[in-house]
Amino acid sequence: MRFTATFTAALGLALAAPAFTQEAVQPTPANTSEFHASNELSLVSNAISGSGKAASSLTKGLNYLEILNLYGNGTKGAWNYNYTVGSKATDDLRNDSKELSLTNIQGRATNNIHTITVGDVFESFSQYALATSLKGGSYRFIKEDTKLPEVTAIMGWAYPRWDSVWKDPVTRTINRQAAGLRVKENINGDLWAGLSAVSAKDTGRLTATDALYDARNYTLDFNYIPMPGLTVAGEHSMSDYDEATGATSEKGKATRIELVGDADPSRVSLEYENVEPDFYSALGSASPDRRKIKTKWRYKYTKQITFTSGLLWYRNNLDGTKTGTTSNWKPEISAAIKKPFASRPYSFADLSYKFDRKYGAGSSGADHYLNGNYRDRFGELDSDTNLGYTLYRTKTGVRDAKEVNFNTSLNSRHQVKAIVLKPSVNLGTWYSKDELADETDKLYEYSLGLGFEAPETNLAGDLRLGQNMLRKSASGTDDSDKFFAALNTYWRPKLMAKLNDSTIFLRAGFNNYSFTTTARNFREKSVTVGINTAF
Amino acid sequence: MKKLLLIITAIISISITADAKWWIFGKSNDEVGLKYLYVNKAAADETGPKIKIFKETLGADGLIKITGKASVGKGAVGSVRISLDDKASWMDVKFSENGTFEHSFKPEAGKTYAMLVEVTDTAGKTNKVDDTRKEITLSAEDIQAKVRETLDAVFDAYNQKNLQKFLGYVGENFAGDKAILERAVKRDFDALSSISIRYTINNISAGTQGRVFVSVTYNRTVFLNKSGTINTDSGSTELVFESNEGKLSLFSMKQPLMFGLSDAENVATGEVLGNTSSNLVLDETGGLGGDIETVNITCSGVMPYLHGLYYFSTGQKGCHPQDDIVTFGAMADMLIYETAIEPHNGLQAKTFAGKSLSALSSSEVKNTSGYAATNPYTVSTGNSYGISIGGEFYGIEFTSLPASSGAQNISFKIKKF
Repeated sequence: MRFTATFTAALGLALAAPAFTQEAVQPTPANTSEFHASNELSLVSNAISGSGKAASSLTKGLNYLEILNLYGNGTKGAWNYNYTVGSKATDDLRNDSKELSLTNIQGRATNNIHTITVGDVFESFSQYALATSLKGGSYRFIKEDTKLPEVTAIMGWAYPRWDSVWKDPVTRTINRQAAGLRVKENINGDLWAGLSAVSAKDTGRLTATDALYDARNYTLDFNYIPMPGLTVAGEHSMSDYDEATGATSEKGKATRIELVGDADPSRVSLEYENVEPDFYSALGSASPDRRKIKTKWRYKYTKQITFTSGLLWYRNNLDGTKTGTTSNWKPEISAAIKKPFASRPYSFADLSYKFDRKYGAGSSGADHYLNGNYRDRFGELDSDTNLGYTLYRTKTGVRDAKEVNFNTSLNSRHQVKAIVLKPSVNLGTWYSKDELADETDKLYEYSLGLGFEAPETNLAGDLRLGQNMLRKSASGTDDSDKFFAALNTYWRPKLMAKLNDSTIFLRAGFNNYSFTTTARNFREKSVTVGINTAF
Repeated sequence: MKKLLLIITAIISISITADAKWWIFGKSNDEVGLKYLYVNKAAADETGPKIKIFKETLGADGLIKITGKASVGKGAVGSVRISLDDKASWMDVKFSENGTFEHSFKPEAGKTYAMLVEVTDTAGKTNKVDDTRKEITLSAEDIQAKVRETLDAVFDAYNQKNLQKFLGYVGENFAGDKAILERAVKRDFDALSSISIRYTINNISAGTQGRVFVSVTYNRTVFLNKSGTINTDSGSTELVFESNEGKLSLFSMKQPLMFGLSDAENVATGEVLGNTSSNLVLDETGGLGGDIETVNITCSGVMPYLHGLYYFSTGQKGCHPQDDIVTFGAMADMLIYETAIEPHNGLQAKTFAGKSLSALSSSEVKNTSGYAATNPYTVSTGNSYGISIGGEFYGIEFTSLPASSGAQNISFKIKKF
């Protein structure tokens, strides 16, 4: 336990104390402010034993985790502002590679025309252009009831975390400096269009093989409503990048367009996407080298029955430079039926069939997925049963297998004086027959649960225990069992509720892994206690 | 490009003609109604009856904006009214000539506003007001708590292998495509059991467009049904959620992936900057895949000092002594004995005891501490090894080592970091 934990916890609790719970000073009626905080401190004790304990993902011993968030807002004259700051401290490197880190910091101010944001800035321009958070600042201009366009400018660094900004040796990454500008115009009430220009420049290679991009994206996106219920939306983006390590320069384009018609009894969507192999989006989201067409139709046949059908097709190798092209067809159909049995008011059935066809570039597969789900209430028992059959069929000797999975759960609720009990049972089995190897795998799972609530004492929790058993027919492979038990309890003491909104929690878990090769056996015991405070 | 533009133009042209009623099955667009309705930039016809909004996704002015366009067919718009208290009171809203209107209000946290919009044409005909009913709530929860609640739920659904529940947290606009993710996760569930993923949050950033960026550090244990082995890995990744009806749903994921490991190439839309994780992925058979390759070497014949050999930079393999100097013209980087490797050309190795290759992270392999040029360097199955040579780093895991004499059958998995 280090000083950092104690300090941060003390800070969190101090800030959560009622003396600080104030409506801030109000010098003029126009100026107001609010301040809030939340804090969670937990201690975890893990014990791992057995000759195979190296396979455990738990950290042995006593560790802590402290999470603090402060946030507030207010007005000052014509300006509204809000801010947030958060931190995390831990001595378990599996929780975080840093003992103390700043998780978020942001300030925002607006006078309804100009908006300035600093710190964590997430201005999602469009999917291809900018869909990630930056550490930096942004400015937005928007003036309602005028023809002036909405303008957003952003600048910052695309680091995934704040430690990387000050180049902490543990979390240091290459430096990706980003800037972007977006102009969006409401052309009329039915159509808007946006133009975005985004650049990203990498510097500070950490290893000789790190790729360094100098990339630019120019994107047009739009949304058009030609008639009630019908929406046409899409975007077209052009990328232009230089990559220093591989000394490559490429240009690429990406386009997507979607039509959605939505009015009872139907909802129909048509989607087309084409992302060239050389398209690169340093700050957006894209799957390069993919041409995709997708349709989906949901049709409410009656009040009880809804049909959904869909077809997805996509392929790669758009520039023909690969040795083969892989194409995929994924049709599906499903029916959701409320009250399939008229005498059973809570009954619900869902049936689906999905098909995957993949071929080209040395692969050829045709996989079938059949699934049935039935939910109902029998007396005080709620049931949910799922039966699935999957046939993996390849023509290249990679995988020929059939799998059956079955799961059922039963839940109920009983009140005993002031305590509510929620017992549950889950049973599951999975069977896989590998026809190429002529081997079978069988998995059996069961678990028993007991949820409980005592509203008068603000105590709630649940206890679950169960076992997973894998049986393998292949020689040289291990059968295995995992027994688990987990207890979670949450208590909101009335005394603390008067001061602020607090929860004390206790979690305890036990896992026992055993294998045919006993040298792999190990056990995990874990106990977590913590307090969560917010006001 | 021309072909594409033609296709797009044709689709839009067809969709905006008066006959484009295929999707509403003849439903007349002459009715009095709303052409569109947005609540804080969320299209009302894409939300359910309840819309929950987080204060972090409001502008700093704290206002909820209702925008829409009245549609009256042949006549003209007479009035637009909005109720926020389930018809108990109505407010007249100014509208433009083409029927567009906007109304803003400052919500109180935790309070529910039952919104209805009434459009009346000049002939006195009104729209189906009840069809516009939405319950709008400004959540009293802070976005941090909501993100944690959502991550807990989505990880729990995945850990419990509950596909239906998991898909409830995936948005229809999922960037990698929801149908691809669905099938990939189904394959994950067939390939894995005893899934346990724990996480802590590194960074959260909420945008006013209703999307939330989340960076997490994860610690994952999965049981591979095919091999009967446990695989553990850890790292940092990023997810983007979008808010809909107060529920956060997945919009995009980057490598290293948390879900959809069976089709990582199509599910992930990007890679985390500075990713040093092992990028756990599953191949078509349900086994560990990705950029891990398997190398098999078979050497036979009656020769003294018969060993397998391997060149890391070129991937060439063969048998010592006949192949290295004679065939390839240079000593191999690594000769492989029954219990050791013989390093050459500056090769250094270090041992990761009890760890599989897929569990190795880039940072630990590239950490130069612990590397040694010990000759011979003892190796065995059940461990994995870091290899440093010529400024490059590799991880290897032997699955089969040769006998002390006779035919030399060697098999190992290799991954370049």
